[in-house]
Amino acid sequence: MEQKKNILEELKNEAPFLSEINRKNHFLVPRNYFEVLPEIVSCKKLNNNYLNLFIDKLSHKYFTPIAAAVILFIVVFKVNTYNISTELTSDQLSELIIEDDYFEMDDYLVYEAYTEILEEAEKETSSDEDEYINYLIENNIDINSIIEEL
Amino acid sequence: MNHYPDNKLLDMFRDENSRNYAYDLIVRKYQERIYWHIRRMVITHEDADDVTQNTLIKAWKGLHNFKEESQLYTWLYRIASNESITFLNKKKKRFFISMNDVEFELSQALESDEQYSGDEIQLTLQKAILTLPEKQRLVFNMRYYDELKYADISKILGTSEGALKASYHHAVKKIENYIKED
Repeated sequence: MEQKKNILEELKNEAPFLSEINRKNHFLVPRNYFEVLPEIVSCKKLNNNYLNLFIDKLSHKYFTPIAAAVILFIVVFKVNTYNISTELTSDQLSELIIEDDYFEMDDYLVYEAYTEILEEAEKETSSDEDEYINYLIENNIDINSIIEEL
Repeated sequence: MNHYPDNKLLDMFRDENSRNYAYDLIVRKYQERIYWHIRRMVITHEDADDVTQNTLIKAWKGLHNFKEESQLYTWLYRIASNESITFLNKKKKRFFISMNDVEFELSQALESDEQYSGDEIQLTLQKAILTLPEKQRLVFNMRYYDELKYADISKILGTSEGALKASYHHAVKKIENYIKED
């Protein structure tokens, strides 16, 4: 009571106009709000407890083994992927190149492979020409007579 | 409704068997004071309801750490004040608006609020309070409406009593000028 009187006195001294305004609370709440609120808080509190309990249990009992299993799986998967890429035969590699549009190749390797193919083709062509010339020489056939006949 | 004294409620809270019951009694004892303190800061019932629930859940989580160095209601007021300020700051950030615009928005909400029954002079008073900076608004509301001692407000806000008196004095002057000019 003394406190209330002091506050009113203080207000009268500092702001006489304000001290005359009714200080009644004019905000309203929905009907029975304060009867329902403790029950809402109690439910939220329980949910919060269950959630915390669930997270605690999960972290202690399940989270660590699950995390370990996931890490193990990732490691095994990576190792397997690495082995596949290093142990491919040339046939498997060809298949991969044909089937996979996104297969990336080293440009220098492509150049080397292409040069080898060209050299082999050249060798084949030159060996055929040599055989024809040898045949003509061995059988004493005049090249001009063949051209005339044609 | 008769309420148990705080020390009895806290004793019951410490006992695991009666913890939930004790907290329910604490909520019933202080819910209205907390709600009205928050409502005067955030204005609409929907927002006040959210912030009150958050405050009471935070209090439940932290009550086992309460050291009884202060009174229970000042501790609860402290949580409620922090939650209200946090809510208003989030509102400001969410809509990329300045604090002045938040106050303008609250003022608009007050005018159209069906849950507000004040007459014209009361509405003008509320709008005047909304022009104050947040902390000054807290000080004014706690002194003017809740009739708290400066010593208690000091514990709630962690500000010296001298600074609070000065803040209240400025707030009162600003509000009176606003009402007179309106």
